[in-house]
Amino acid sequence: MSFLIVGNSSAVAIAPGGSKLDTIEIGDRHRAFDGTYRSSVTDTLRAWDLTTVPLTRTIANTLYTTLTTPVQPSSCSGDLLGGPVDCFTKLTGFHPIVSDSTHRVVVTFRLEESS
Amino acid sequence: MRPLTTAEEDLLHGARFGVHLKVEVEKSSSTSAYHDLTTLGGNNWVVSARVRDSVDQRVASADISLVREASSSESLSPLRMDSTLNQDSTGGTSLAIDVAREVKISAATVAASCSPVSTDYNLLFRGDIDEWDAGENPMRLSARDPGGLLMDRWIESTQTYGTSSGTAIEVVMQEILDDALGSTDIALTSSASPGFLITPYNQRREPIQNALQTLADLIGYMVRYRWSTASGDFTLQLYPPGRSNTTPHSTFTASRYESFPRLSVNRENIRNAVAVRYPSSVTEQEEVVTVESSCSIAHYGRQWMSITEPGDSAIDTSSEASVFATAALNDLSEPDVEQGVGMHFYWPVEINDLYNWEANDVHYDAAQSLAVVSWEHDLSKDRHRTSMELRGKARSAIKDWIDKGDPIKLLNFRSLIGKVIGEGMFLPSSDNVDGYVVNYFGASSATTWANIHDGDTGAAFLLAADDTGTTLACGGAAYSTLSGSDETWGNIGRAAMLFNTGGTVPRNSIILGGSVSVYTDATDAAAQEFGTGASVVICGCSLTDNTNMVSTTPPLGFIADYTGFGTVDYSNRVLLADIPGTVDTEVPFYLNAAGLAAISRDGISSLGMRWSADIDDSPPARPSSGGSIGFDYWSAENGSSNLSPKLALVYL
Repeated sequence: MSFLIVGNSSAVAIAPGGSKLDTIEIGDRHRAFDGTYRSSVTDTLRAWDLTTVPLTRTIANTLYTTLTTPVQPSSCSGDLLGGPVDCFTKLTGFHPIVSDSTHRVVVTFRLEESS
Repeated sequence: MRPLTTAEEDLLHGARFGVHLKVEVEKSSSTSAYHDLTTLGGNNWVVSARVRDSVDQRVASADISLVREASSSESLSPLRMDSTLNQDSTGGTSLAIDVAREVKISAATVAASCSPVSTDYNLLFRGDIDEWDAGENPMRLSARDPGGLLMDRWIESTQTYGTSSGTAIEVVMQEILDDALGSTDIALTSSASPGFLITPYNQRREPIQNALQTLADLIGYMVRYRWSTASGDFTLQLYPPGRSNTTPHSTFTASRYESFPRLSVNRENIRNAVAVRYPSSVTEQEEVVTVESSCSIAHYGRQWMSITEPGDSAIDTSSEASVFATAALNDLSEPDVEQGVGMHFYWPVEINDLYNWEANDVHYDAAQSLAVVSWEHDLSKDRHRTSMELRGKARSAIKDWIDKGDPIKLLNFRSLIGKVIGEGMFLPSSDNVDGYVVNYFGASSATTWANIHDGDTGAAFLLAADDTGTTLACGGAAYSTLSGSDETWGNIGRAAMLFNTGGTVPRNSIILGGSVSVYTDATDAAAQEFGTGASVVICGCSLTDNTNMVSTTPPLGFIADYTGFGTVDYSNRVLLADIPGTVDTEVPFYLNAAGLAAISRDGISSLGMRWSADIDDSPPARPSSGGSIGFDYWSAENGSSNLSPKLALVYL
């Protein structure tokens, strides 16, 4: 499992294979008159699509609150990110897993580096 | 075009590169340290920046959008004293942003995968903040380059520049800058002297930039802030626009631009016959020089314009007038293709760059060489664009030349079909003012020029004569110099003539020309008992009451009439020395564009006459023996309408 802290939450347990890193290019792009694709780049930002291990309902609810806070960006850190990073958070899924004796939730979310 | 290394040229011509914006604001007006708004307090506050320049705008300008606040304690709003950004290390007030602070906008273009270093940044704009607006978030700043200072600061008193043997034009410009600014802080540079000499002329009160550009127009040059590679900064430069340049600064293929929002030809601003009327120092009367482009006339028909120089113009010889007229003709005789271009960020562009646009087989099938008349950079995180407006060749101005023309420039011959030229002759009507006002201090209480000129209320008395005498007068008088004092001046007189033009001159008419004639009331009606070169001129006046000048006796209730006379020449200046010494002789004054513009189509046209030293607020050398200077002429009460002041107008 990878180690991650989002905002004021405690460590979030990410499932093995539950992390995917993308890069987002910030800049301008257009087609020139002859069709040539032209682009310019201001910055390259990282984005992570993450899936937790099944969490207890209490921990999942805390994470839910953290991810949906209107105060953006949030301070994030952990081995997974390679250090402290300010990120915009986006909740993408909240999946309860119910069995006869337990109740767990798998949370999926996206972190986008703010600058 | 600003110089590029080969690597920079290759990068900008490539299909992909990195763009990084930096905006810095001077920490306070007394320091040369700057806040970098892209890193201030650990945040990037810059949302976007637009920088623009145009051949007619004369100054570059910028608009900057900034994040107003990042948290409750971090705000750029200059009225948030509780913001940590507006405090110094001791908690005292130290605004991050304020008007009159210098702002610099820079951009680095580097390979897409690279981060810029400080030397990668190119300064796009340097100027002062004119306005901040924190009403919305993001907040907005607007700024102009240092040329804005020259547009805002006035030459506050008239002064003579040039010498009889001629002073280099760039030297005269520097003298004007130093005198008007009261310092030598701004140095005018010129790559090579134009070799144009200025003979004595009277510099009027006007914004510094107007004065400099008027001189530059004499030789068709430009004077403005421009990038100096040697200085590594924008400096005030006098330079030719490069009208004859045929070598493109750069070539653009269809892979370089996105679109042509405009590609057009318009003959509206063609002028192929240019007449310049100027006060000749040789003949001491108004002369005309006309230059024409036969090729343009053959192609587009004759399109004539006239430019009338004021009586104190620095253009006072036929050769100077020819240079001036030719510069206007060169800029206006051909209609040129006008092309708008939207393209990827291209920071080296400058006004009058000549660019080659290769054929794209849609808009044109042969390359076009066009010069930049305006450009704008639009930069933000996700927008890196440059737009340009281009025309056929480099020039110093377009709109400004047209604006210099006399009102007849507005004529479009197609609109004149069927119209009849009208004319009118006006005398001061019996119920309107036809008089003069004198600020009179008398021999025993002679005073300073400032007191006498500005209408100081300490006058012994002010005299106003209206409809009671047969003479009108303007001029001044001085007494013998008092020992150790400059309180020499005894009086100044100003004449008023009101003509009821309303209802006769049609409201929608174009006034083509006009003159004011007055008649000498005695032998040697013009006196010049000290000083040299004095003249009289028609001006405007604004009286308290159009029907009567205020009472002639103290208290000094009519000071408003005395100070209501205008400071702009409405006509040529007539030298007192040229006024015939015989009685009942006509002395004509020909109205210039300002004078014609002052003619009322609805009511009273209020004209006045002032002595040249009076209208210029420039006293002649203090006379040692005293005497008077001025001109007396018949009023409408002289008994003969033939000798009354007359306003003659011709209109369409």
